[in-house]
Parts: sequence; C-alpha cells; structure tokens
Amino acid sequence: MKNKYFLVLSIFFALLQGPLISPVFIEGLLVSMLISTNTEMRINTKVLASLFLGGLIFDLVQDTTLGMTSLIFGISALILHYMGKSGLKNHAFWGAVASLITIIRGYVLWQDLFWVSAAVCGILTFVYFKFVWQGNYSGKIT
Amino acid sequence: MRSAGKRFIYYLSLSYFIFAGVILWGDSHGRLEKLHILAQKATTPVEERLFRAKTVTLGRFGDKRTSEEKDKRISELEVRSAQLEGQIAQFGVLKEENERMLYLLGAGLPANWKFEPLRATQNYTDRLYTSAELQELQGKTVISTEGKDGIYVGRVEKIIGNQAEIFLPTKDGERMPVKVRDKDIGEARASGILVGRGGRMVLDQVLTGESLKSQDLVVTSGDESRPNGLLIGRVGKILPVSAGAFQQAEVEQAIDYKQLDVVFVITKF
Repeated sequence: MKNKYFLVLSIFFALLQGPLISPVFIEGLLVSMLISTNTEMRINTKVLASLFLGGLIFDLVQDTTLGMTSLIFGISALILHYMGKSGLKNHAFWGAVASLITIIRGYVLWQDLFWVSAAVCGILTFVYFKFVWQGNYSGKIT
Repeated sequence: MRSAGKRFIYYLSLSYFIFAGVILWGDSHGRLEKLHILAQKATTPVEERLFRAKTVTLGRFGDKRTSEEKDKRISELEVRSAQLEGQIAQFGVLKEENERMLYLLGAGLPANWKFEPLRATQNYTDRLYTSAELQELQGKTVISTEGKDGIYVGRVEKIIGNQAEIFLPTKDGERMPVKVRDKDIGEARASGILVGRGGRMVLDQVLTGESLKSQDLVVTSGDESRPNGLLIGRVGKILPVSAGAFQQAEVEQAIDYKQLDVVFVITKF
C-alpha cells in the first residue's frame, strides 16, 4: 500500500471509528498493509513518516493524547521489522499483530480491550494476507 | 553496508520515538490544545452527520423500542443528569471550601485553634446567615480568611435548624472591647469599645489621653468568646471631642461583609 493511501485511509477510518463503528478497529490492518508492501518489508523514512502522521491523524480526529497512537504504530512496525521472514510468512502472525495493535490502542486510550473489534481486525488481516496479498517473501529483512 | 543499514534503522527509529515522545509530553501538559481544537472544529460536523446517519438507520432497522419506552428512558436520563449536575455543584463547593481551608492553614493564626467552615446563604446589612451542621456554635466567633491573619466577621447569635445567624459588628447595639494598634509597627495605642450603629461602626470610650491616628488598626482585645488580635477595621474619621474624658472615631470595615462567601467559626482557641 502506498504511503498516501495509508494516510487517506487513516483519515477515513479515524472519522468512521467512533460515530459509526468501534473507536479502535482497522488501524492494525492498515499498519500491517503498509509495512508488508513497502520496499520489501523494510522500515524506511517514508514508512515511519507515514506511520507517524497516520498516528497523529487518529489522535487528532478522535481527540486522544497526541503521539500515543504514533508510538503504538512505531513499536508495531519495529516488531514486524525484526520478526524476520519466517514470521512474515505466517498469516496468523499478521492477524495477531493487527489484533494486538487494536487491543493495546483500545486499552491505552479508552481503558477497554475491545475484544470483538480486535478479533474482527485480526480475522480481516489474516484473510487479507492469505487471499488478497500478492507480495513476495524474498525481500531482504535487515 | 549491512551494519550501516542497521545503524540507519536504529537512528531513524530513535528519532521517531523521541519525536513521538516529545509530542506526547507536550500534549499531556496541554501545550498542543489548539491543535485539538482546530481538528475538532474541522471533524466534529462530519462526525455529527455520520452519527446522525447511524441513528436514523438504527431507528428504522435496529431500534425496536416503543415510544413509551423511549420516553421512560429519556425521563430516567433527565433525572440522572439532574443528579450529576447536583454532584458537580457539590464538588465545586467542596473544592472552594478546601481552597479556603488551605488558605487558613497558611494564615498566621495559632496552630491550636480549631475551625468549622460555614457557607453564607443570605446577607443582610448587619446579619449574615450561613449553613451550619453543628448546633453548639452559638456565641462563637466567626472570621474570614481574606486577611493575612484572619478578619473578625462577627459572632454566632443563634442556630435555627441548619442555619446560623451571625451578628456583624456593624449591627446596631453590638458592643465589644477593642484595642487600637499602630498601622506600621503594631504597637498598642489605645483601647475602647466598638459600637455598632446600624451599617457602620464607631470606636467609643477611648481616653482623651490616648492617641488615635487615621488608618490605625482596630483589633479585638479578647474576652471569653473572642480571641485577641483579630482585625476588625481601621480608624477612619476622628470625631471632635465635645466634653468629658473620652474621644470617638469612625471605624472603616476591613472587609466588605456583603462579599463574604465562606467564613470560619472558631470552635476552639
């Protein structure tokens, strides 16, 4: 996923999350998609800048403490980065990380674990990586 | 190259977390409040429309409650809202009392004195009515924390139900022994009787041999019910001596009794 799509989707879902759906829901999937499709799964300046801005967008739109979501996204990106190829080949792992992002964000910002949202996000992420994602695993993980 | 790449990732990640941490710190300390306000101004209308759309959709397909049930729920919520507003008001009162008590602790009053806060409910020219939980306050001295060392407000005349009636020193017929102290060095200059004259106070029975100066401090001289040294007011216009051995002076109030909100009754001194 291109960085600009990540930012547009961040704005879109930040607006939807709260009025229409659970306040934490899809951001885990967005982060996973961004990391998985960028320059062979390597963290670079553009990815981190997008994650940072995406986090700020969520915090500003949802009126939560600025920087908190960026921190959660950054930690998630590092985990994904350092998991290596073996972890990235496992689709369930992506789902677990996406769920974890939802749970942590929900607990830190709303003191609620949002189990249902986390489970749905995890399943969506798993389905995406299992059936939709066409990336290759030959990327060099550094 | 591999090592250089790792170092780059390390510094990049470090910068990321430092920057995020700085923003988090700034927002936690209210430095970025304007950004939130701007963002909410921009997004709230959209969110409101989305929420309304959801409510309308649920109203048609999801919400199966009857109008009676909804009315009942609205009534319940209104009652709950009123209760919460009452609690908020109560918290406000407690906060203010707490602030006054803190001020009292910092005032230069003796540490062994004990106080009970009273909240003013009505204020007439020469009387102050306050809420009173305790019944055994009759005759006790009431002070305000407006001044550095506490200012004499009056004495509890009677308790009616949960209300205390306090006679201010300006009340017609109120009399109490007082001392006059120099405004600069605090040295005792004279003693006399403070007499209430209906909205004003007059210092009476001051020996002509004792010197009175404008703006000197009039303080309580202390008796069974009043502690010594509480400021009441300042010497105003000194009245001409007509005959006899005594002189008189007008006394200016140290505080505006009409502005009193929370006062303290001295339960032990």
